[in-house]
Amino acid sequence: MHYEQFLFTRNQRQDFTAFVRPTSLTNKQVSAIGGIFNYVTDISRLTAQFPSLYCFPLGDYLLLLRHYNSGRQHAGRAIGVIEGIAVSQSDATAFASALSTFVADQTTLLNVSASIDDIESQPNQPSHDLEWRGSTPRKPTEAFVAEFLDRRDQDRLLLPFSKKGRSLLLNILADRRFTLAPFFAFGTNGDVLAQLEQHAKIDVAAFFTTDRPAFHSRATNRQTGVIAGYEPEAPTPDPSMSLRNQQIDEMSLRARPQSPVTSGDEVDEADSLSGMSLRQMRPPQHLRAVEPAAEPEDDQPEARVLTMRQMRDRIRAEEAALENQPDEAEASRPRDPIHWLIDAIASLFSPRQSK
Amino acid sequence: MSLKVTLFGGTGQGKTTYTLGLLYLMVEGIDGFRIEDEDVDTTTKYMKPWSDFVMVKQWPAPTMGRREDRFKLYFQDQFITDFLWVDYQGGAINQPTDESDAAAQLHADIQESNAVIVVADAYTIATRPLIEARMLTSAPLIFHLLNSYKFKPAEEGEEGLNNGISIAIVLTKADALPDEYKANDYEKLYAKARQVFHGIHDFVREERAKVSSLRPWLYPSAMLAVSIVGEGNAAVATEGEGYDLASFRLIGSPEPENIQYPFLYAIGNELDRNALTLEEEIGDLEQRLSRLDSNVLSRILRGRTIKQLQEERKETAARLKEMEPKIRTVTKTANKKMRPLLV
Repeated sequence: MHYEQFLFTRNQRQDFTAFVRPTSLTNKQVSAIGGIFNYVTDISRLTAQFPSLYCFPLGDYLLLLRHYNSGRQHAGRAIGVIEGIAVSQSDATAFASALSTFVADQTTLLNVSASIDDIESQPNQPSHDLEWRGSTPRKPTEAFVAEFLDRRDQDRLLLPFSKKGRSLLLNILADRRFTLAPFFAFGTNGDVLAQLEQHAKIDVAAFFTTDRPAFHSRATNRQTGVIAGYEPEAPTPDPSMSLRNQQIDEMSLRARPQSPVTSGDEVDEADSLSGMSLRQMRPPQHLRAVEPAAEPEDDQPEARVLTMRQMRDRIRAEEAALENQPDEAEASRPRDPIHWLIDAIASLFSPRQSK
Repeated sequence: MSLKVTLFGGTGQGKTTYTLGLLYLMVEGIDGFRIEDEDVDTTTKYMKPWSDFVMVKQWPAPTMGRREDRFKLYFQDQFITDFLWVDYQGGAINQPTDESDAAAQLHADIQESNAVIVVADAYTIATRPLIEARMLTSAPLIFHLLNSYKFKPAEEGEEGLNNGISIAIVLTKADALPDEYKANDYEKLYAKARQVFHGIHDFVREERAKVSSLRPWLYPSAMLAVSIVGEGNAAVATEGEGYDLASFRLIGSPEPENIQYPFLYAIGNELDRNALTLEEEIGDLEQRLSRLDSNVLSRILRGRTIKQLQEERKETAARLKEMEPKIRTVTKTANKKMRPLLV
């Protein structure tokens, strides 16, 4: 099986960048990957040893990737790494048979960063064409895999994001009944899944909140069956949910600001205000409250920020003032009869000046 | 009427945190203003990383691409305008369009935007030598982008109104500034920010000095020092050097300060631009009606009667009248807080 590698991350100089990329992966597709993983807002729990793992098609390729916290930081923020392999869709069968090996040995086979000496000086480069000659050992067939195969069109399999969950995923991937690779998002959230589903139907997902392996309807997301023999696990909680305790939910996070008091200083505009009401039931008196209370203007008028029309009016007023100003030289010129006569004669011979 | 507001800036300047803080404030409402998302999940998505930021004191992950969300702005439960909010990763500005799809999209978004919010790190501006501050905030590239797509005269035959743009510069991390930069309402910070963004500043200055055919009032620009975490709630963890920006540790609960005003400034000015267009339409109609004899007039009216034209003018005037309170509502609140780019 021929494959290429990719490495998307950032360094101190460059934002999200494709440092290594498959030759046929377009800029648009790189942006699409950035857009998808934008919805993972917390990468602190994702390590190189236990990263999120994804398999999905994009353009000409089938991608297998891992996503984790690099341990590097930029301006105090954790930098993520997205790296893995891309296989041409024409090699889909070979990809399916090699998939479980790549997932099981992800720390070496998907570890593209390991080939980079220094990410800070790494140029952007296309991937080499690599060849996989390894073999995938057979695994005993698990009963739940047959059920998954039967239900796959209607249901998605949800797994916990845990070692046990990953072991179940490996069982599925090693099963030879899959001639084409099932697509999966192991260690993800609903937003990312929604983005991925724009590219392909995802068969297996492990949300950070999944507590037991179970089948869920693709249409309704309701649980339609569980895999027997697995007790619910304590899920790795999504910080944003787990830390939101009841007390915080019950009270406003911030005191609601007081609305500005009606000034009542624009009575003449009551008619114009009535036009803006989209809620016709509101009494006119309430509508007048649409404008904030008049407040004293800035102490330094020159420091005031004007609106476009205010600025236009001021500039036009300045221009008009300039035009109306008498010519200083003319004003200072002596007005005795001799000079007046000279000026009058000169004006007869000189061209007319337009203002 | 829907406005398009694009938020962009250099890498690590605080765009993501600013957006999260702004959404948090505006969803609940502040100063009587409130926003509602078109897709009910949008706020939930933004609120998750904000919640992590507040509760775990963890800076949000850097943006990796482009996000676009639609909102409605209300004042005291009355609809003001729709707007499209576009948020970018910093890298988009540093990459050529043929190498990055995000960069190509950014260029397209700038062209289509009514207003831009440029985010720049006040701490970097204050503490780095001028030329480094310019590089780190991507100020030359920001000017280059605006200059390429917005600071151009209208094509022949175009009214030119659409070629203007409102520019709000958000100076983030103001709470961490050395005291001398905070003194006298951030006077020293604003002075240096004008130097850092001298491309935009000089464009505005030249425009107002009337050396161009462009109408200067079509390019309103202002800035404001803001803090997402609030005074005393963050401490410098490491000072910046070279490409490394200074990093900060959150030591208290975030209390955003002033972050809504640049956004309201951008929206308010664009509403005002619409009013300006209507005013000019009315003025143009009136001028034609008063200047032309009936034969010429009928040719220009293309079959419309003078009565129809007058009704059209009345209708436009009514639309303008309807807009005025909304415009004043937003601009009164925002403009008194913002500081002009040009003094």
